[in-house]
Amino acid sequence: MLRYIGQRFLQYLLIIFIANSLTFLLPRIIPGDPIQEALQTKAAAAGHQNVDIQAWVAEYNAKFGLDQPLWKQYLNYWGNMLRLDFGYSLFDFPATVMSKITAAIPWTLGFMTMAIIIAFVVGTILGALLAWPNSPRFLQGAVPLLMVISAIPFYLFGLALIFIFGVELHILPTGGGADPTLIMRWDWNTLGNILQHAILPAFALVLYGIGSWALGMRATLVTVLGEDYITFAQAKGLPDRQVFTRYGVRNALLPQVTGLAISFGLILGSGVLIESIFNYPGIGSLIFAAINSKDYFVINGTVAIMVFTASTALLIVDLIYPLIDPRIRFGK
Amino acid sequence: MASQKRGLLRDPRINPSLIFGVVVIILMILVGIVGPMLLNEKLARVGAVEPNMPPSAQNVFGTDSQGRDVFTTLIMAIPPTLRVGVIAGVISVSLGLALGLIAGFFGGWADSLIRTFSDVLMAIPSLAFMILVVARMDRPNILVVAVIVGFLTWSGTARGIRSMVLSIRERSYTAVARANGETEVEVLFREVMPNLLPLMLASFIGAVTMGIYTVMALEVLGLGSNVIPTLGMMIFWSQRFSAVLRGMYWWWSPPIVVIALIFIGLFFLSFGLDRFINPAIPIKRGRSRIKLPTQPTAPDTAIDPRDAIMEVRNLRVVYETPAGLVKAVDDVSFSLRPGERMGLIGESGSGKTTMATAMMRLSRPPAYVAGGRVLLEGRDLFNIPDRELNKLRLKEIALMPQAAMNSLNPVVRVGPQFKDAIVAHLGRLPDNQLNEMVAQALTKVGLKPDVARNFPHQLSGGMKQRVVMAIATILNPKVIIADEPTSALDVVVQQQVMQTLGRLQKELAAAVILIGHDMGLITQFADTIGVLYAGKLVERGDVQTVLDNPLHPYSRLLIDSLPTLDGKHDLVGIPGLPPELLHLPNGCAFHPRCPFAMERCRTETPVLQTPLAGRQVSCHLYPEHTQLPPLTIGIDSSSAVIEVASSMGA
Amino acid sequence: MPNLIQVQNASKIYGGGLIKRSDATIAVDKVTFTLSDEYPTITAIAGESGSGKTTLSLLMMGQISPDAGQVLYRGRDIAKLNNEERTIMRREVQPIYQDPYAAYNPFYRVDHVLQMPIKRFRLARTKAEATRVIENSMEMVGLRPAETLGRFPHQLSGGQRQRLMVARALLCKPQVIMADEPVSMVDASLRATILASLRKLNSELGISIIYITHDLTTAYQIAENIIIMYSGCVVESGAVNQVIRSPKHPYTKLLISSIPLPDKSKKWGGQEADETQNKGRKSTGCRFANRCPVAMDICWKEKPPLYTTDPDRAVACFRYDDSPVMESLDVAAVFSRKGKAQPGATQ
Repeated sequence: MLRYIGQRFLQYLLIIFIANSLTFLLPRIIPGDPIQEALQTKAAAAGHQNVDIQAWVAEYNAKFGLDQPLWKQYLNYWGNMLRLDFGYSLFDFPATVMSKITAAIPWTLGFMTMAIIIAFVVGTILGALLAWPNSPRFLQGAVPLLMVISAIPFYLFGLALIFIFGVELHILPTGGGADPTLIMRWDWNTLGNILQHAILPAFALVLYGIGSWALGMRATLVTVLGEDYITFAQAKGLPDRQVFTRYGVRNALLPQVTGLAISFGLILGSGVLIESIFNYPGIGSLIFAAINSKDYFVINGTVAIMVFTASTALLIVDLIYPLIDPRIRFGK
Repeated sequence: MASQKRGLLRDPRINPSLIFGVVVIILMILVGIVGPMLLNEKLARVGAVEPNMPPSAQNVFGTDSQGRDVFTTLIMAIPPTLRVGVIAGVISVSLGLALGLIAGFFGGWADSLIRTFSDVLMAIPSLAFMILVVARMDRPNILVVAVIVGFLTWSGTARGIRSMVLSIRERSYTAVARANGETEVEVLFREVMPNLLPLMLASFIGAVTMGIYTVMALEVLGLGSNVIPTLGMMIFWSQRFSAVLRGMYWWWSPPIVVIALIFIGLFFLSFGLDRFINPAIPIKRGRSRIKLPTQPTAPDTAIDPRDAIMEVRNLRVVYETPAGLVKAVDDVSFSLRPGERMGLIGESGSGKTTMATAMMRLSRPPAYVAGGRVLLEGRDLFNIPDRELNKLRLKEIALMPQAAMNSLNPVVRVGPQFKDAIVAHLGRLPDNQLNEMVAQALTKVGLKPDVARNFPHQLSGGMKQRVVMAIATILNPKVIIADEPTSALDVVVQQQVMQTLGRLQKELAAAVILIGHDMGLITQFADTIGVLYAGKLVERGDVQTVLDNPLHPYSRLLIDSLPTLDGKHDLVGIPGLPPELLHLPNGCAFHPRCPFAMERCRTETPVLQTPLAGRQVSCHLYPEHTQLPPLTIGIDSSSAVIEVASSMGA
Repeated sequence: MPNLIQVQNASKIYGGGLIKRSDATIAVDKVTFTLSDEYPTITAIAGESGSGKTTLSLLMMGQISPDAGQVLYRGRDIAKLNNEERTIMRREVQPIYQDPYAAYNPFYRVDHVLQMPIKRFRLARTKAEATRVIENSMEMVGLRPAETLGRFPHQLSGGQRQRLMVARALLCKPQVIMADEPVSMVDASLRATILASLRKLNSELGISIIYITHDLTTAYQIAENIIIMYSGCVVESGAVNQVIRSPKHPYTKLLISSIPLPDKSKKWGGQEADETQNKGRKSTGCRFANRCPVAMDICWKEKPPLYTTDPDRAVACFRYDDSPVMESLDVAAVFSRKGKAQPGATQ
């Protein structure tokens, strides 16, 4: 067991090492100067056409240490990573990248957690019902529909939802995290407003999520129900309902729970598209804005955080899996 | 080749999902090829038409804010979008195939290196990574992006290929190929590769989906090329100019529909391919899984019902297959005395396991009970409500299933798997009483009581078999059906397990039906025997009497073919081929292999009769005879071959 | 060149990383066995699962290499054969596997496995000759070409498939056939036919056969000599008439008393359960000590050598330490040689 944890942890360090080295190296292989580009964009946006861009660039390069040799930059990069210091925003100087990320993270975590949990619970129950031999026939007709839903990239739902509920029906806001005029306080009004804004982006995710969780649960459960231990449980004279829940669902839940843990690990990255479509003030919109203003350090910092959380989550999944599946705990 | 193609189209693995996916994707490709030829490409350029116009006769899907005709742009956007997917797919699958083959075929350090690298790739969120890389590009070229996506997504394919290669290597045909003189390279290309084709196709579809998805996501985020219109760029442009908020539905909705169609097509294609590769996954399941359609079709011919604890009357079980109904158990009747040990012997395809599950009313589709009754002390198990049936299972009639290895819930400890059964029948009991019962049951089968705290996978095969036996006997059932209880065990453990079963049987005075294919095992354990051939009970009687004086020709030949330890003798098998249940011969199913076959056997199905007291046989030789006539001519199936052998030696 | 295959003090160890040696399983432990080509004979290697019988056969075929000791083919170390010699060995030592379905590539018709050896080993000059050679060997095992060839493997029965595998091996004009549990996945009524054809290949064509099995009754029926293995070691070896009809090693006795015979008058012996007090104890001597009903102190400490208890038998058990220790390590040294030499048998 200790050996397993050790091996898994070493692998984790390796992943972090390779991923960070790649995020350092790849952008530097590609020709072009991020700072010059960013500043040109910034200058154009601000209307300073006649500023000496070259002098500005030199100043910034010195500030970010980009004039040093590559190996020194690399060591520097690691030092900064370990301190979670991703430097300053190019576009929004002197705001630090980290301050922008910490401002955005609660929004993403909030609406994504809501969406993931609702989708998981509803989808898993639906999937279980679909696999239940005594479920009503009309439910079986939902399977192709669920397949269609889970096939479509979910951000496309977002566009349709904005159009239907925001533009045509005018019952929900079309974007943003809260009303621009709202003053944030710890009260019901603020909470209600925030929730109202989160409904549509979350709904787009939930719609897609229900489809894939339900299909996953159904497929696993159908396989489990074909196992010999189900036959033996029936032969023991247990009521159908008990066979289904204690023997069927109990076993089929294992991969679902793993999937849930993984989706929490990918929480920062998987909402990027939906957030940018809804202009939701989370990590996704941060990266969207950064891309379009060529704010390279923000992009770099955000991606590094995403890679870090995702690989950490995978590590945690692998470490908790033995707790939920005894076969791994006691196997070698 | 042509005949193989025809065979493929008639392949039962072809499923609706696959057909639907293929049709949608082919349609998209056709539109992508033919469309641009018919349309005026200039209308897709910025400023070609008046901007912001709703659909009209001139611009069927209206125009966008930059003066492009939406319909023309849409059609022009399909080929580059698909091309991106194909490029990413080809690169991803080629890399995955090459690395997977290396990992699976050579193993060792190459394998661990590739595996570690693919683990790393899988742990890195590829979209985030792509954002980082593409954001650095001055003017992103979508083809370059597709290439990078291909390089980032091979790990799934490599894993699939690797495990497939490992499983192929385990199959002995690669070893046979080497013995046939094939070189390693030949084994790889001639034996392994053809079997990887479906998997490669599925991986390719997956990689194409992934490629289109990733590139489209980048484009929606603003990391696309503004030069070539693609479906993703159309979404991006409509977003940038707030098409949704401005109510320009004609602009943003057509690309969404086309994108959705492409992804739906790809999804169903890969789903259908998966079904094609693994046809074992059940596709359809009806409610009848637990409830059975049970109307007796044949007239009851009750046989010797006196003091029988259990009677099986005219039992028929059919399998529904694409090629038609298969009669797996055909009109089987017998009765069982209390405390009787009955052996039921049959070869593969004789219907013995089907019968065991049917007797517990546990048949699952595609198997259906098509008639007959199972009477347990006069109660027809097929005609009582579920609730009542559940009360009888385990308490009156218990099953030890064939696969004891897999009969215990793997994620629950052994103890609770006893307790839920006890509680279901006796109601809630105090915990210490339950524990006591479990401990006693385990001790009875020769296990220590603390086995209850183990998980099933911590036990050896013999121990699991004992646990299953302990569960099956815990409520002192009157009938125990033991379906090949020792088939996976070594001979010494088999002997021990059967001794335990024998002792329990004596203690409980229960009747046991031991199902098996090993005549020796059944002889040693059982008092009486029933012989099954092609779903029919062909002979029934006392074990030793049947061994000494078999009445049915099949029993006779089967017994003659058994090796013994009483000196060496000629090894004589049963000539001919075993029966194919889908194409059973008319009349007696055994007649093509029977040395006594008469004209009548070809046309008329024999019925079970009683030519001697306590003996039943289903053969047209009776009642004219009272025993099997002696075999005069040698029926050694290889007799014809001896001449050939000598001619070969010459 | 009197000896076809010589296994010399060979061991094979599976598993066990660099760090933890204790995980390792010794699949074959210092076995020496010579297969002579003077007497074409049928030798059974028998034991339960995990006894090392299959590993030993893989060593003999050169499919795996020993971790200690060596395996010689016609006097040359298998590991050092050049390509040409290896091709000859491949042809002359032909395997038959347990699962008659997995032995066929599902992609091809069954003809594939018959045509490949003809091409690779150049067994026929013309197409007509190839057809004749194939049909001859099929008839030798009692198969009709018309109802077998041109089909896919799943269209044949298990018995047909396995007989076709025997025909394939025969086609290669082998010196030895290594049959690993060839009938354990075939229905009882068809087993006899397959075993009879193996016996015929031996008696009529002079092909030696190694019959690897867990089933002592079939071993007794077709083999002349037998090696009983337990946990990688040879525990008893000799003529089947000796070893099976009057076993001496406690393990052989246990195995034979566990066989269920189709005769009520021959009662099944043995104990009901084996979970006895010694189960957990590790033996550094005889590996069977923790299951042995008659184990002595020495059995736990030392590994018993093979004792020549009879002219045709050797037993590795200290209870026979009054018999002389076998001079040669070769377990085949005690084999009965009733099989007559067949100088012309090599085809």
